[in-house]
Amino acid sequence: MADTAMPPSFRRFGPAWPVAGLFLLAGLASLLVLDRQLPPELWWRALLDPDPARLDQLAAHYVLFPRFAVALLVGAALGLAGTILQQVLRNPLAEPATLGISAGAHLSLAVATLWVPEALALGREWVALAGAGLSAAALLALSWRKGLSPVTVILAGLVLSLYAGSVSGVMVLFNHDLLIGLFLWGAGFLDQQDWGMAAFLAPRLAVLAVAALLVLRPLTLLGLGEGGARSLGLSVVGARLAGLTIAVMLAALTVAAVGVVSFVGLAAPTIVGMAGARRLGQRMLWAPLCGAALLWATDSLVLMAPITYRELPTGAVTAVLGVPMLLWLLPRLRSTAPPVMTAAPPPPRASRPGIVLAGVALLLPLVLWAAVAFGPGPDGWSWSVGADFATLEPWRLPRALAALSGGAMLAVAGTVLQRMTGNPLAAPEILGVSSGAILGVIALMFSVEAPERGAQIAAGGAGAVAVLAAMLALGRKDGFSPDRLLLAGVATSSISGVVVAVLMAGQDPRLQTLVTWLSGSTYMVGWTDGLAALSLALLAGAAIPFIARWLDLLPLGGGVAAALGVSPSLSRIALFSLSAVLTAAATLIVGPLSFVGLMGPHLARMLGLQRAAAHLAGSAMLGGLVMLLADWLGRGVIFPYQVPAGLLASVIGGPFLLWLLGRR
Amino acid sequence: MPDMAGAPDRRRFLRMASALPLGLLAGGTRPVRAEEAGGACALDWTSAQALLALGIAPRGLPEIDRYRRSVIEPAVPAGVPDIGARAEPNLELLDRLAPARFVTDGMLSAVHGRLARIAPLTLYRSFDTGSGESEGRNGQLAFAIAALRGLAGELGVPEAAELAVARLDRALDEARARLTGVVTRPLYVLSVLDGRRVLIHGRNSLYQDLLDRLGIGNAWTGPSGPYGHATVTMDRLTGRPEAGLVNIGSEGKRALEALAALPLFAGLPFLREGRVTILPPILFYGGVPTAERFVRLLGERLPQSHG
Repeated sequence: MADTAMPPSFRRFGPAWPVAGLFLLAGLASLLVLDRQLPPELWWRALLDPDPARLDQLAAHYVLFPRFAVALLVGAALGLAGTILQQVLRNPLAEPATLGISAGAHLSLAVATLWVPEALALGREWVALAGAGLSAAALLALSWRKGLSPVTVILAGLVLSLYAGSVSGVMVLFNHDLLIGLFLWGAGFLDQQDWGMAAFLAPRLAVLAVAALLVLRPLTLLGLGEGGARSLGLSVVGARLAGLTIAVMLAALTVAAVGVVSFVGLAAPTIVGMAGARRLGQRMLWAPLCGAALLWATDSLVLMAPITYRELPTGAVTAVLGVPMLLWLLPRLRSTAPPVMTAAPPPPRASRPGIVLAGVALLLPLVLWAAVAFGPGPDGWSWSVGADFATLEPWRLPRALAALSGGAMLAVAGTVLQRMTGNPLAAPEILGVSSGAILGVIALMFSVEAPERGAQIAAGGAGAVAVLAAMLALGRKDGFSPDRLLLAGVATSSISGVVVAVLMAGQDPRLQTLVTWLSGSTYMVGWTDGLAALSLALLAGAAIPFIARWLDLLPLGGGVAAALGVSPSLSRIALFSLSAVLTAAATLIVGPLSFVGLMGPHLARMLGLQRAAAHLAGSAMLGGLVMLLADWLGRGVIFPYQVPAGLLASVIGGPFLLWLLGRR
Repeated sequence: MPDMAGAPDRRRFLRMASALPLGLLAGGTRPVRAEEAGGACALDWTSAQALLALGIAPRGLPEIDRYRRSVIEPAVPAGVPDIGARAEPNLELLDRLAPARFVTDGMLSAVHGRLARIAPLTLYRSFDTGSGESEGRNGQLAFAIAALRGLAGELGVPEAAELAVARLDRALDEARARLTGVVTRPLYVLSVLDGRRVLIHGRNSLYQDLLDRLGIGNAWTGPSGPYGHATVTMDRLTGRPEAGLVNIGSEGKRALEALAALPLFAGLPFLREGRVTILPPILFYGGVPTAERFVRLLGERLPQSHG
């Protein structure tokens, strides 16, 4: 954020070039689109005063032109929001989508649609604003302790997005018919049918733009750093709050208008910044223009695309375009402090970690047995014994074992990642490996009729391995900096998110099974999977003594570790690969979604397990226990229907996690 | 916690302790075994429709409440057990119900192996997704009829399939009789999804064949996916100004009224001139029973709304 005293004349035309180029591209594409619909001599007529009897003119007037206008307005709003967020949080990756603000707005709209439709009558933008504001508050709570460090903020944003996604997942599972419209719209379709949306957006954006101008000076001073800003008599907190509020309102407006459009808010400020717009004032002028041009160009390209049987949502296309950009940006992210253990004051260390571990270890078989024996039937919950137990056990035990093992594996992976990165929000779900597995399974589902379980596992495994290989290749350059690996995972996750969103919008009946698997169901698990999961989890347990040494040494710094005979980069590869393999296996068995990878390690730490070995062992058992309980509950609460364990664990565990992380 | 010395003792103790809540929660009864085993259990709605159309009450059916709301026909008799979600029918419950056979559309292929341990599976695919939009296919209706005959044969009630097909033929005749002289316009057959977008049924849909049989054109000649429908925006429906519109799903009425209020769509002839027919919900992929329901409803409602 160097607001250097660069002479303004020197860079004056810098940012104009890319912006003009994008506008040219967008304009040309739009003309081609228009040309397909109307002869050029009728364009003006169609824009200003269409012949009500001519459908082609009406369509241009009420569909195409407003669509261009909305693309421009939304793009500008996102560009401005991204610029402000990047300035306020001093984070080059900040934008409404990466921070989870858009996801929060989307979720609040879904909740309102289902349960408080009256609220929507007040105005969708206010409902969206409530959700966006709550997410922003949660984001701050999550990352405050780490001094809003860029990586932590981005991870917190992803955790929030995932959480919002899993809550929507529950709602869609049980209200598919009501929410399908919301899904379509949430994928970021820009199409219009009158000028209403443009007329809705324009004045509101104008007000927010003026508000942004008013806080330009304090925001600029923020760029000097807190000390400098304060010495100039600025209320740092006040300036940040004002900036955040404006950005959140911009994000809520765009979500209320067209759904989630990601990466425009990230790309626009980055492009103008690279083109030489250094000062905040310049960026706040050029980034909205750039965002407008970018979204208009993307949308025109979408309009030009040959129409397949399913139209592409523009928001999804921007997300796909944004992934290479994010990957390219990663190395430019200022290297954060070398991994140190979480600075947070650790909870009191258990005086006898052995006893704590033994207690948890004793609890496990008890709960496992109860989960198998005590369950719901047509006549309510009952304990089964004897012959009854024997008939139920083959249905219940494999699932229980799989949930237990999957939870344990995710918790081990999470503990390793968190200790490696020193980041309390490093969750295995974020690795991108699960996304690889998802994409593998989806590819299989759409190329083979009625795939068997074995084929599904193979395809998911292949996807996970491919992503893992890509991540390793990518990470080799910078010595496997854990933060960057995590962020690359964020980028991968967004691809799979887009694929799922597009499929959802296409209304394919095959998705029903996919949706339940994505939400962390152990339904498909039979004996083979259950036992395989158990043996993998046991193997992971056996590896704990070996990895614990690395994890204890690595935080002391590369030099110390090397002096003690541990190669930092080799051990990082090993640790990362281990987490990836465990995550992939757990994903295939219990689905990609659950916060157990975060909950296990934090629960263990709360019980005072601090040293790597005790932390790993405790977190594995606690993670397993959480998933086991979730699976048990999920099988019973709405018998004969079932709530996927991962979903239940994250929906109940999510708020607990927020509280836990915010408290410290 | 009791003494750790003997695991069996602990177990017995826990079992005894655990017997206490049993009386409260389950009314003191052990879950009853299915009073009558056997019968065919449907694992999805199209299979359920097929069984019911063949005159067989299913031994179990997923998401019964939603079936009654959005599939409706053939009606489910009272007392058929709900086996849970379509994506995850409750295996434990299926085991208890002990049907003699499962009928499935293959969507649950990943658990076929485990289902087969309860009862043999019969695959019933009423919708041809394989051939896509390519030429040379026989059409969805022929496919659906063949599928129903196949199922009836396997269940040992071949004559029931002939009855169902005869009912469909009768429905087609009646509809044709009602529509004679009333309508020659092509129709857009769709469901409004969200106020901007519609799910429209194209060449590869079952409705295409039924419209063909009724001598009505399908106004949508654009692409349609493997399931015979495409998601498009309303403004794409400008190709055939003379066409009428049939919306499947009752809630579409309000959505269409809202659309008609917009200047763009006020210009769409079928909205402007009120050539809109609203049909109650129909399952798109359901084969012969779906076809019968669609044809009957269309015959009843189309003459009322199209001049």
